[in-house]
Amino acid sequence: MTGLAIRGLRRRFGGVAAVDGVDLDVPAGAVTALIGPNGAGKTTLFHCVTGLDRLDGGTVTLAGRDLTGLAPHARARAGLAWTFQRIELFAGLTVAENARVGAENRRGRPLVAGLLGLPDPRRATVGAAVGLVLERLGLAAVADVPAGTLPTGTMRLVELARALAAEPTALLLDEPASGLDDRQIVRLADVLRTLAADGLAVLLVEHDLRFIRAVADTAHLMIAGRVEASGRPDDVLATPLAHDVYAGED
Amino acid sequence: MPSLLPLLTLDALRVRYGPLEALHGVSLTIEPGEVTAVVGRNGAGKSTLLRSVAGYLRPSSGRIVWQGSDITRASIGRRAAAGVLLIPDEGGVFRSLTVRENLELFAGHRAADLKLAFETFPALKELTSRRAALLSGGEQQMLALSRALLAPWRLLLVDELSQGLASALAGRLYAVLAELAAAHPDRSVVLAEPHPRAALAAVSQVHVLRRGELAASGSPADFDAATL
Amino acid sequence: MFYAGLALNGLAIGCVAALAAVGLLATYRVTGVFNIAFGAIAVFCAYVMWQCVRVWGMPVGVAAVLVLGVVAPGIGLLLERVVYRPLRGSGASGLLVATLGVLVLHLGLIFLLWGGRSYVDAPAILPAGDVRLPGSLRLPYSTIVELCVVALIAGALTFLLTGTRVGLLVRAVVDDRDLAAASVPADRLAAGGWAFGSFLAGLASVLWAPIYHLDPYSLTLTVLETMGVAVLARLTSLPVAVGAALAVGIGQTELTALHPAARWQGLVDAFHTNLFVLVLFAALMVLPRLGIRDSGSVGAGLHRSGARRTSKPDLVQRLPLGTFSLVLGLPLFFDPADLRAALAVPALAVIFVSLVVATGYAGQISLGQAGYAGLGALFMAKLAAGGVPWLAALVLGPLLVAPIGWLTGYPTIRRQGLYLALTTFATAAVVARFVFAQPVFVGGLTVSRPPGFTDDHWFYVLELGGLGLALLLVRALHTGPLGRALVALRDSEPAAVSAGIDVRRLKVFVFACAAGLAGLGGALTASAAEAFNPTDFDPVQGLVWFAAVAVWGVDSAVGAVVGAAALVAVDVGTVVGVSGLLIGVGAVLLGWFPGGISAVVRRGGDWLVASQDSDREAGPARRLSPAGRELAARLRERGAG
Repeated sequence: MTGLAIRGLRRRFGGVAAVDGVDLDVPAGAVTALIGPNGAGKTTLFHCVTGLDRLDGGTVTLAGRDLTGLAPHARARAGLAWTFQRIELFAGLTVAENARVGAENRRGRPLVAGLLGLPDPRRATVGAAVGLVLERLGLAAVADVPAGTLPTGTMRLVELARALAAEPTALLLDEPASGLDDRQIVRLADVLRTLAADGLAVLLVEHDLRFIRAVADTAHLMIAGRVEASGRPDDVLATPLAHDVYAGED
Repeated sequence: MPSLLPLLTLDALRVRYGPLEALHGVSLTIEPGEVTAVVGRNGAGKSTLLRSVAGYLRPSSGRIVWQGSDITRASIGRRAAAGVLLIPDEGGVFRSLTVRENLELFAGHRAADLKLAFETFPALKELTSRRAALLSGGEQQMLALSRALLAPWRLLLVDELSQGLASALAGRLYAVLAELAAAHPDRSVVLAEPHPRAALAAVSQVHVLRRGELAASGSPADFDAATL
Repeated sequence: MFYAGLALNGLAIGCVAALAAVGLLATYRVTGVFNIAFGAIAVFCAYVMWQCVRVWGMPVGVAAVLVLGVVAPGIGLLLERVVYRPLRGSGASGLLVATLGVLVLHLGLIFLLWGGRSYVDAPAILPAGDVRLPGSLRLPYSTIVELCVVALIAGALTFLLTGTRVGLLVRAVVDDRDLAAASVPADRLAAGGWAFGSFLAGLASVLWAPIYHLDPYSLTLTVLETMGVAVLARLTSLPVAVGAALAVGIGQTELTALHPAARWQGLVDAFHTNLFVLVLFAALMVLPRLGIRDSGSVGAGLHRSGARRTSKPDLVQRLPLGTFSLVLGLPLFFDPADLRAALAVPALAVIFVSLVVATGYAGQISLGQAGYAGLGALFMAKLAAGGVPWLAALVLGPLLVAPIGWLTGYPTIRRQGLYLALTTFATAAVVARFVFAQPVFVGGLTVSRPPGFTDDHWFYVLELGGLGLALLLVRALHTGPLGRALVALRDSEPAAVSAGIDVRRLKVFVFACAAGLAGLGGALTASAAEAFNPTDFDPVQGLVWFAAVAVWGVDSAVGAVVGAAALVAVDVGTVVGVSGLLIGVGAVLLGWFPGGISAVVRRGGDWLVASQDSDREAGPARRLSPAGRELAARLRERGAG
């Protein structure tokens, strides 16, 4: 099994089950979307997969490897990459340095070596990976601009660059289209399609239905902690359940 | 006949954070009875504008005039007493208090009547004794917005209303706010929106901020939503 | 074995602690600030009371009314207006530095106004007698009154906060003052909270006066030690705090009845005199978390805001290093007395730089550098006593401190802000009481300078070498992948984690480096003095150091060096108390100039550079980092090929 597999995932807060036994496959080479109303548990699920939140039951495996007990940074090193609902980037570092941090921490290195200033044997590979990612996302022109001074849309791309520079096998995006204008959304959709075509497993949590229709191969509708409908985005959005949630849109 | 004075006038308002200036001299007028959208990308200065009107930030120069009197240096409390109410994009709730306690504070002395909030956001009814910090992002936003329904105001400033809300709910809220403003001819609403597509239907006036400057103003019909 | 007589004595001690703990908690609940200066404010009030009665001849009752009704609440109102109101919205760290500043400021004032003298005739307001109990036991009136006061405050406050509308308003103001300001008179409520908190400090001082000698440090320390009780109550439950304080007080005196074999007696004595410190340490190590707003980025409020914080060197770091070392070399030409005084500068500078590493780079507030510094000195002396040459011991001793920094940092580093700060302080206090104060460890210890460096001139050069080493380490933490990872961590911890950075390991590593550096500073301090003085490494000293570094800017190594020089110069050139006063004023006003002095200088520098740049060319100047240059070159190649 390539890609990300979630089995029987549970997370309770107090007496409330935020995620209530979710099975979800995020296959490599496709874009999978997770949709649903506020408070359905999408963000909680996302946090359980990345390890930012602990889970009360279930497993998360990536390309056959069990990630369930790992710390978030260890999951990142195992090939899981993610971005945040509110943009999180290294505002003081340049765009290139942002991507570089993503690339060079992929493997652990003795901290003392860094302290003593020993040369990093992987320096050249890191540099190449960074160059490639920036070019692919169209960020080469702003490579040396401090990331904190860029407009929102570009910041989203910088986050993506940091995630991709680590050469992940699965990519999780939490509302990547929020804060983007229409042109940027089209571009993002384009980028995600190409990434999936290259064999990456992509999971989106998103509210923007047009974006989902344009980019996702599969959609899962989550309500009150459970996945209630799965299938092609158009089919899922045509179900009565989805109609209740997204009444009056489009 | 309502008074002819504008509700709020900003005159060459400049605001800086340390060495960085976020607003470079913005002048605009809010008339009573209007619903205004301030649109622009993140970082364009929308939040800064709203926060300085509500008194959270001190402008470095320029004037804020409320119905003819200068309130540039007035405290948050004085502006609130005059009727300026800001619902910020984050931190709009008391995180360590329960949902009910939050609502009681928002309602002030008319504490008995929380019905309005529960009618608009039935989801909150189930959560009255939960601490706000434990709510999801969307639920916190609902709680924060309840303030607009419970507290008295004459000028309501809402920073990113649709933040974390499903768009159906957001759309309904724009309508609710527009109704509230329409019901009282001396009330105005200002919405700060990064992606104004949904909001445009509800507003009568649009100001576009770009890099801390007022780039354009007009009625929604003047703008093509896709290019904003 | 339980002795009723001892228990009654213990009850008296427990009452003092309970009053302190209730004061700390009540202040925290009504102001949102964990006021570690509570003891210092109390001592200041006690001195004012002494002045009124013993010097100005006021009746005790009048003086008490003056202190409780005017002076104490006045201090609270003043602090709220000048110190805490500008700091609203800044994180736990900013508030912590401010309270440290208040502590240092009050101590400085006491030293300036009363010369720091100790008085035994503190006026007592309570009758001196006692109540006879069956079995020829006596219970002093003062204990009874204190118990009543504690119970009254705890009960009334709990009711007020949870059962009344005013309580709800107060909690709202504590939670988010700006948000509350729109619907409640937040400024007045906050001012009221502070007046009440300081009133409690005044009350404590009046009640404590007959029990304690009046002296600047003892009560300040007592309150710092009883923080353990407040921590046990997770800063929320007043009844738990009171119960714990009484229990620890009684346990402390019951321990005096324990008489083990003679060789263990010293340790048992250390236990019973320091039970509160141990409780603080244990509570911090064991309890999962405080009921406290402890989140948020750690260095927030200490770092300069708004300015760029890249891993690129900026103006101050590009200052010609030659000029810098020339200035540091100047003392070599001073006359012998001044040179001797200047010996303290590089040693203190190394300790200050270690604080910059711990706080500015790893984002960990460390109030315990005094402990690590002392351990560095101790290890050096022990190694030398074991036959290691002094010069080697000077290097190896501090190196041994780094693993100890790792051990103490590891369990607590995930907990941030106040939690970590208290833990580091507790560590320093435990080390001071159980190591530095024990003859077993420090008896008969000799310290001498390495051969060849015994002369003041040569030793100063050696010290500069040590400082150079410290600055090299700082450089390594500032550049390359390690420096990038640290800036990344500071800018966004979630993003750093998502990039695969092991945040905990990185922070503990840097924290351990800082501990090692502090050890080097301590070893240099002891060598300069040619003696191991436990007072040099007093835990309160660590608080003063931290406040001083915060004033100069936690992310500026150069600022730390200049700050050390300035502190030594002020201490040598003026009377006792002036430096404390200056540091205190600086720290309490930090809300007005975030980032400290170095940030102000840097901002000025940036402004200068910016105006020059705009003269030269339109548009922002482009300075490329090494990574950026590499990339630009690669892109050019591609464009050409």
